[in-house]
Amino acid sequence: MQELAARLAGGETAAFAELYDACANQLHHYLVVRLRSRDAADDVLQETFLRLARLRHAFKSVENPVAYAFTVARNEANRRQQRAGREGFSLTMEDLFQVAGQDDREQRENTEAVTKALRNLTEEQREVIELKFYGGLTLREIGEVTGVPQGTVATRYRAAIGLLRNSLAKEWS
Amino acid sequence: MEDDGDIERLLAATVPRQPAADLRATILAAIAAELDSRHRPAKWQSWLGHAVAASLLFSVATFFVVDWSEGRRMARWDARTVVRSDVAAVTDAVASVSDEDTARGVEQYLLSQLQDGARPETADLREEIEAIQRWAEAEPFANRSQGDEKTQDHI
Repeated sequence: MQELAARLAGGETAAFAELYDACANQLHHYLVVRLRSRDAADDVLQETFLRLARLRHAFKSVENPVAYAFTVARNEANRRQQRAGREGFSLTMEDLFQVAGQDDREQRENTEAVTKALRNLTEEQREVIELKFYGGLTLREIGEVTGVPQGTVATRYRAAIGLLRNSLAKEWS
Repeated sequence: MEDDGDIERLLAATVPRQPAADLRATILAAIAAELDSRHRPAKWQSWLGHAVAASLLFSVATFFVVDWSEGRRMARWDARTVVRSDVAAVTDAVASVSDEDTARGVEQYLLSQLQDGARPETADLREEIEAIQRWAEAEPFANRSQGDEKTQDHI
């Protein structure tokens, strides 16, 4: 990671390709759920990597380039939401997840249930879930990205999981 | 749902929508262009450079034009002979009764006196000039050369 950070700071194009392959999919998943739109996620992902290239000298002091990329992506997503104005949270399964062509009826029902359950979380809890499951980050990395202590992240995570379990239990009862 | 592990497995099984197919190529091309542009000056930097170069050239050209025209002006000033009005009046009076050469000689004499610090008594000189004039009118034209000599003696 340190070696990759040094190459990124040096402006090596291949290093950026390496970083892209290491985290672009997880970043995109996180951004889709966060922004509720694949097109918006595409735009923000591109903005994120361009910003990383412009701010490449900052990689000199970065220990974890992937977590840093998530921090930049989160800031870009926040800016985009501020520009667009924060609309009400109206998650739809089709906006977020791959459901087209899902033949597995159980899988489709599960996806629908998760979508509904996510609506019941607070914004902070939902962000932890987004970064953990769709971004693939550890709780420590989520703390780095969001700028809150790891203990706080763990507390939010446990609360979110508890709420999701209750919501899903009601859904299936 | 039995435990938190089930919830985590369920969440992990939901796959968000995938990026556009050509997104990787687009982003990497944009990054390459961005990294390539680091050696090129920005547009405003190029514009500023051109503006500075143009203003320097303009300043140098203006300096030479002003210097040249000032030199010409000073040369004209140096070439000009400034003659005091009273000296000029005497010179004109002499010219009217004799000729240009004599008048120029009188003028040179007066100017040399001024340069030496001695102010010529132009009133006395006028009287002499009037005498010369009277003589010039009385003398026949053939004897004018003698008059010229007389004028020179006065000078």
